[in-house]
Amino acid sequence: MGSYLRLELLRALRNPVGLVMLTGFPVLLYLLWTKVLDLAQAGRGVDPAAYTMVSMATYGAMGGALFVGGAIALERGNGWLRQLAVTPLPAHGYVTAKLVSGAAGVVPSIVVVLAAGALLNGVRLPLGTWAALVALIWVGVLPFAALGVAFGYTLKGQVASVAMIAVYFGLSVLGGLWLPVTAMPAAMRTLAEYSPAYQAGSLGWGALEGRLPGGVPLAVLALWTLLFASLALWRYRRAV
Amino acid sequence: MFGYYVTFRLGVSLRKVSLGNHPLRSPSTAMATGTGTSRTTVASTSTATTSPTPMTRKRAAAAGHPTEVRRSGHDIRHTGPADVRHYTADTPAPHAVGMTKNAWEMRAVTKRYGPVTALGGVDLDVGEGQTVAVLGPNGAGKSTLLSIGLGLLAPGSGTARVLGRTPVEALRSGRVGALLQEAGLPDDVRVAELVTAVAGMYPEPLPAARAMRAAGVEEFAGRPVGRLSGGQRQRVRFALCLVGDPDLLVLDEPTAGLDVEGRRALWHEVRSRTAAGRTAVFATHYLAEAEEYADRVVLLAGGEVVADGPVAAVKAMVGGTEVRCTLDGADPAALEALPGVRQVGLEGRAVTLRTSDSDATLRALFTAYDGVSGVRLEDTDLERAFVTLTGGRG
Repeated sequence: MGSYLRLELLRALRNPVGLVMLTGFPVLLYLLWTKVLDLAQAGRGVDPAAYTMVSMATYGAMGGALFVGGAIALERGNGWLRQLAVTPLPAHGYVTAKLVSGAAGVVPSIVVVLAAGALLNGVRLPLGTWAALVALIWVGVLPFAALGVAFGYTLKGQVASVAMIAVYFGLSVLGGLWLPVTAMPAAMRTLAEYSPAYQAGSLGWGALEGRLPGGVPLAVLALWTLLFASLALWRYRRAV
Repeated sequence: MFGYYVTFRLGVSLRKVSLGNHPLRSPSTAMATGTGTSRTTVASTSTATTSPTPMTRKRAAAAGHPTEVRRSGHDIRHTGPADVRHYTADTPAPHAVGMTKNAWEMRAVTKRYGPVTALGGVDLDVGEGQTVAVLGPNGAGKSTLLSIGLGLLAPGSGTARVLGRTPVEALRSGRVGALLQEAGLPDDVRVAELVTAVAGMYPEPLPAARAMRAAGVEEFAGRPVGRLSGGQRQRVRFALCLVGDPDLLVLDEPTAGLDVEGRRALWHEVRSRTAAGRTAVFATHYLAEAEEYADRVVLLAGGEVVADGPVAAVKAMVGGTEVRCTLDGADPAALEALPGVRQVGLEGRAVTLRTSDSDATLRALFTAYDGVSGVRLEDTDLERAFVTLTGGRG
């Protein structure tokens, strides 16, 4: 398993498309929001540049987590999983390696957007808060990794990518990562506040105000994680 | 009406073979049937239709074939003089219980895909150190058979054991190396990285460099897999299959896409491994490969084993030679009774006799019939044996 994990990490590092998609795109959006269009999200007394920075970092990391499943779908489609199935590597070793390399792969998305906030938008935060942001955003996107795996073992190849992009954008918008939920009608806002992307973002938004994650966001996030993980496990068992 | 390949078909199923669409039918006979006056039969005998098994047993034994003919789980095995290649002292007989361990055992394995029967009760034992070719036309069940042995598919019924364990356990133990037909490779890694990573999954791998040299991928070891040609990718697959230093190699169409040099290198490596007592099971369309590299050929058709034995025996099964002649009022049963004859094709006046002893057959033929004319002899090659045995579905 160790040797396969090494290979997966190598691949994650080498994937320029993924790197651009999952770090470059959020940064561009962030700069567009804050520098060009002045649509920076109005937080609750928080610097809009910082608030949007957290939104976009969460958005990028969420994509990285989801697309763990994209790679699985691709490799189920192109037969690499078939080849691995005739090696001593057990199927759970493969998923684990994918999850670990995916988890490592989301860190750049977070760090690059935060760096853009600090360097280009003059966001100033205590050192501890920066570290907390990285950790909290990282934890917040865990359910999406599970969701990605569920997708990866349900759909194959290109279909999976398209479906995942739809889900990715849908959940991002619904979760108030693009535009704040405060701009939404009341009913939609309630729905939004229970959606996984919102809860992932709220961990970071709270940290900006120096708040520790509350019980409700953590519980909601844990529920989503449990739900997606069960879904992933079910799909995985059917596929393997 | 009853077109049966008596000697080798009866053991499996009484499948009717109509020459109407049979590849063995020559253009001239096609015209003859076109008149609608004569129906074509191949090797029909009255007794065979009513009591196939004893007939098969008797005939096959009489012909001295080492090949086994099977019918619904009952194995009838015959060993004879043609079997030299197989039952020598240093290559133990595949079925000799207690003499050698089986690297591969299948018992009454079936597999269905919806209404399609991919495997209809296959028994297959492969002793350690054997090289076995699984031969058959597309859709015969070759890949299904190998997939079950590799634990990629579960059999519908029956059991499969590999190296004394379940197929999945055998794979996990790292003693099996497999080259699959449709195995994809990640495009974004270099060949050497890939081979090294896979080597790391096995308990006692070969050094990656050695596996790469053996598979002939050294010269492009530093290239990303995505930039390789089809043949180069196939070599990489072979390197992955070797790098665990497995006791059993399972190769599905291993030389597909390889050039001459690649084929030669692959077989050289397989040979050197089996010579060291390891086992290889491979599926192929290439009859010449089976002939050249396998100790034993297992011929699949329609999901059943229709022949199993040394290559020479499988070839001999359809008769080493074809005697063709023209004859009036020939009786198929009488022609069948001629020495050496194993199969009779009769189409109007055109007679085709498959024989294992053309001299004896000809002598008897001329003695028995006055009106024999236009006699010619043709050798049977493995290609023809293959087409015949698989009912022309190759």
